[in-house]
Amino acid sequence: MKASFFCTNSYLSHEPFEHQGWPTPPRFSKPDISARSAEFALAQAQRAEEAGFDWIACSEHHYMPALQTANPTIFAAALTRVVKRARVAILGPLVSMTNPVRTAEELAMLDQLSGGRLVALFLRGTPNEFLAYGVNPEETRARTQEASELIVRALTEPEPFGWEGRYFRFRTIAVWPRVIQQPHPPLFYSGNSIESATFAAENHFGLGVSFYPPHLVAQLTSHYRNECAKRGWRPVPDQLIYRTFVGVAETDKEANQMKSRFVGLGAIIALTSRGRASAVGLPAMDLSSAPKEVGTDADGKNSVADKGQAGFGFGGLQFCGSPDTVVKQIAEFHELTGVGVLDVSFGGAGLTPEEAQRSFHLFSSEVLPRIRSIGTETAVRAANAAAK
Amino acid sequence: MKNQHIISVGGDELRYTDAGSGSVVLFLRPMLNNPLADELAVNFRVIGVEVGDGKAPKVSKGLGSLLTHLGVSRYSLIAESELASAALAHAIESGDSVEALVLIAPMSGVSNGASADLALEDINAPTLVLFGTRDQMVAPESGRVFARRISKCFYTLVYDSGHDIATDRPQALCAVVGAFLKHREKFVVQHESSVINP
Repeated sequence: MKASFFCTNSYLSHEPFEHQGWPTPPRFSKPDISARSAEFALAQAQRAEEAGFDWIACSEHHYMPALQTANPTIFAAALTRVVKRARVAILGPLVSMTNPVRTAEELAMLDQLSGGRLVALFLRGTPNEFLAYGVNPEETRARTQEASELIVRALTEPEPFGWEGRYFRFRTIAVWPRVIQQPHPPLFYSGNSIESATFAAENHFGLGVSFYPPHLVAQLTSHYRNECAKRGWRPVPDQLIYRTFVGVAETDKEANQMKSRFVGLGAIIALTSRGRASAVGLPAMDLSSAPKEVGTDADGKNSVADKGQAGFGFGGLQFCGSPDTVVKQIAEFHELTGVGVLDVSFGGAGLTPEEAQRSFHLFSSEVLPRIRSIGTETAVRAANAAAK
Repeated sequence: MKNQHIISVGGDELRYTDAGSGSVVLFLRPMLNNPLADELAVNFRVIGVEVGDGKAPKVSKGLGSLLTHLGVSRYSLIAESELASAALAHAIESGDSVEALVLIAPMSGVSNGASADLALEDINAPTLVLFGTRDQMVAPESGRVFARRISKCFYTLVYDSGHDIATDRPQALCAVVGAFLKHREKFVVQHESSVINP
């Protein structure tokens, strides 16, 4: 199993986090703290690589201090300069609302700058973010799908071409440089809904699931694998990513104390449903319990069956405990879901910086080395079982 | 059918329609009824020609007679699917008479080498080659061959369309073909203003 470090580039002061609503007014962003935040984030990425993480990840989010990566390709470009071995993973650009040709060009440049270490996942975005560039929320699923297909074409077409789409029209596309990883870097699709998991399978994308509890992740990965099989291909474990929070302490007791205080992104997202974001109708979020079924990627609504059970799966510290406990949890999670890459974050509201740092350190030194063989053992067992 | 005409070519009947006014667009079709032709006739004089089995020499001879009959010397040429071979052969033979060429999901044998002898390099007319991204009859990537061999080729993918683009994405097809016939090479330029509030 592999581990990805989710580098959030969070603002290093609590003041803007106390603002109720979204967007957070830029007046809260102090130049000196902002500069220090970026330096800290890049140093953190370097430490994560040194600690053995396989990927260093970032993602696109707008107008909030928790994730100051409005253009993740700029941040990823900076990562390519300080991260020398690990893959640089954009998980991902919000392709529902950006120019897909520009995104393809940026991804190609990043693959070049990283010497062929880029990984990318196509995201739809959250409803509040659709306000940032003024896209119609109702169209974002279809826009994401079309943009994803266009980006792949733009990365792989050797001749200049045009695109007559539903949402995008370009008469001249010819991306330079070509990507170093041929035919293209590993690509993923956000798969927090059944529909998206199907789309990922149809298009030979890997699948990225975020924050859901294990049984719902398993539902999505199982559906995805079945859809892949129907189309004659089989994803490898590295094509299944799960983004979550991890809390590691010396003992289970200490870790459970952290868990009881942790509110993670749930609190932040709850805040984003206030202010202007309320105009797009974010669903009410029950932060006290995990969702009971999968919703859709962006709005937490499940149009098929849900009447209130779905939602964002922000959960809490999904993997939490002493190093031994966390290793066991991750092994069980892998058995259940088949996920091969954990994209983890250690911070979150309710934890002190020291606790987050201790989590990172314990995970790196005592968990990461022991989860490496998890997929391998499973593969061997599966192979043995198949041989019998 | 409205505007349908018949002329005799070498003892065979050649059926065609003639609608609209303006620059002439010759549209090769297995059947005359065609929504794209109707749409284009709003801005162009569209001569729809029923070319039957589409065998190139026969088509070219028939077209020559028809054009003489109509007194048309310069025109744009559109062909779909299997009729693309005939259109390509005619465009090569006719030189500058063909002002623009549009190939819609061409099954011309160009990409698999079956028509390797076609001198595509001799086509000087700006050429729009369209493929649906979900075409199961011919790989959309076939457009690359045209792009490499025709100097003014505009290889374009129509998103979420199969082989029959006119059925799957009719508005997209009309938009791109209409713009190409109107502006030729300059259809790549954005002509519409992006001003929101002057």
